[in-house]
Amino acid sequence: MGNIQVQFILNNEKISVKVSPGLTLLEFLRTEMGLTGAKDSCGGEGECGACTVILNGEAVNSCLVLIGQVDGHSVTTIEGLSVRGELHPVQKAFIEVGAIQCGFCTPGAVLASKALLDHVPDPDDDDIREALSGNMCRCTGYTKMVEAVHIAARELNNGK
Amino acid sequence: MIDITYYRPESIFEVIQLLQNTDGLLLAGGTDILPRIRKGHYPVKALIDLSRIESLKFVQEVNGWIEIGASATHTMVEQADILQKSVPALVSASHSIGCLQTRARGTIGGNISNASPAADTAPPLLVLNAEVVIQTATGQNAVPMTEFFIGPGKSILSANDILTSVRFKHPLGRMGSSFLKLGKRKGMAISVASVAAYVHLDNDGCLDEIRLAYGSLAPTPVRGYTVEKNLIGNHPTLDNMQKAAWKCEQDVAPISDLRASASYRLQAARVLTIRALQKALSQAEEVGV
Ligand SMILES: Cc1cc2nc3c(=O)[nH]c(=O)nc-3n(C[C@H](O)[C@H](O)[C@H](O)COP(=O)(O)OP(=O)(O)OC[C@H]3O[C@@H](n4cnc5c(N)ncnc54)[C@H](O)[C@@H]3O)c2cc1C
Repeated sequence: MGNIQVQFILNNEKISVKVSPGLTLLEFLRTEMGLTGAKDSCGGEGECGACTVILNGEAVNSCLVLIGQVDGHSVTTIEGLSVRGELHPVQKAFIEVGAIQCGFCTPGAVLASKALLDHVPDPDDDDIREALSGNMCRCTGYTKMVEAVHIAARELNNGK
Repeated sequence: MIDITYYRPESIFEVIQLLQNTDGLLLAGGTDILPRIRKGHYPVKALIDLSRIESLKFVQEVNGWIEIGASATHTMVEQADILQKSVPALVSASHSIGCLQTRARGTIGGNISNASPAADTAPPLLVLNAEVVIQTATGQNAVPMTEFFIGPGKSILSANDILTSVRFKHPLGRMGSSFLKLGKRKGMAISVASVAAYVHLDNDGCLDEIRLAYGSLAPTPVRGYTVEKNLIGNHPTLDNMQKAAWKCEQDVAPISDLRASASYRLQAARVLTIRALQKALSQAEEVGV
């Protein structure tokens, strides 16, 4: 079938593209936009969370979204988190506590954490573990991620 | 990339036309169908994307009925105030599905239409005496949930039908409901066995309504009629519940597979039955006479 027209907001910018409808959002981001922060790790099963992006404020697996399904919506990737070169508090906290090891799962885990903090500004350990339960880290650095989210929460709440 | 023809209708009328005139399959949240297509499980030539049809995304109460649109996501169900208050069984089932990412996309309509024996929203809907609303080319049918599933992956939905909503009477009074799921691990697990319970108590504290349903314990989600019959009209004492729960053998038909053996599943079903009843009862007992 021919290409379809898709318009949506990507990292705060309106974009309008003609693309193949068989592309997932993940494939589109990586191959058409050169945004390689979102990763394909489990092969499109929705099992690993490495392809997590924020769609209309919610963390989703971009490997399980067809590009046509984001038409009219808003997508944030890891590349869109920093403001004028300054990292987002969640990113800073992940680095600070060493919640980054090989780095493959990091963009997904950071975005899942950010989506959590947007909904629950002061999460407890259970909230955080729940929010990150779909993000696999093969280096098993989960404890540090939980710590990082607490630090980011404090930082974000201080700013208010 | 998958090789498909893609349609994005704007109305249910258009969906029905596409279902009749193309070989398209419906695409809701895509959490089930996209991985399957990619694995080559079924040769899908076309997808009919429901994402533009806003009228399928709702949770509402009208005239004493609670109705949930087919495209309501598990997150929407989990967060709906009315469901949290009145049907905790459905809320916990939706909450138990996959992870946050899965629940933000996966829909109740997709969960039921799949007709998986492990579909987690099915047991709660069965105990709520829910109806499934189906739109066909010729009209709308409401079918009791108990008649909807016909086998693993098979329901009464035909290729030209769309499920538009599920609905059930708003449960009121001294009632409670619960859903318990046993998985191989805490998160992201398809169930080994699951049980939903609904109870209603009369003024003497006897069970004047009781319904049970099981997931992953038979070729389809099933009601626990035998257990129900053994408890109706009785006081929900532990002894009564234990005796009745042991009879669930007559309601389920577990198999052995890579997740668990049949005998383990049966034992789990018995124990989960008692625990689910206790949980539902504790909600019912909070409501004064
Ligand atoms: C990581 C992961 C974990 C999961 N964990 C669970 C779990 O714990 N429990 C569980 O029950 N499921 C689980 N699932 C399965 C799946 O997410 C759910 O069943 C989900 O509810 C499917 O909904 P969907 O909207 O994504 O369906 P889709 O994938 O869009 O569609 C599924 C099927 O239903 C049909 N369909 C969709 N909408 C309609 C409609 N309105 N009318 C008629 N047919 C329709 C489609 O054509 C397709 O055949 C999991 C999936 C993943 C990826």
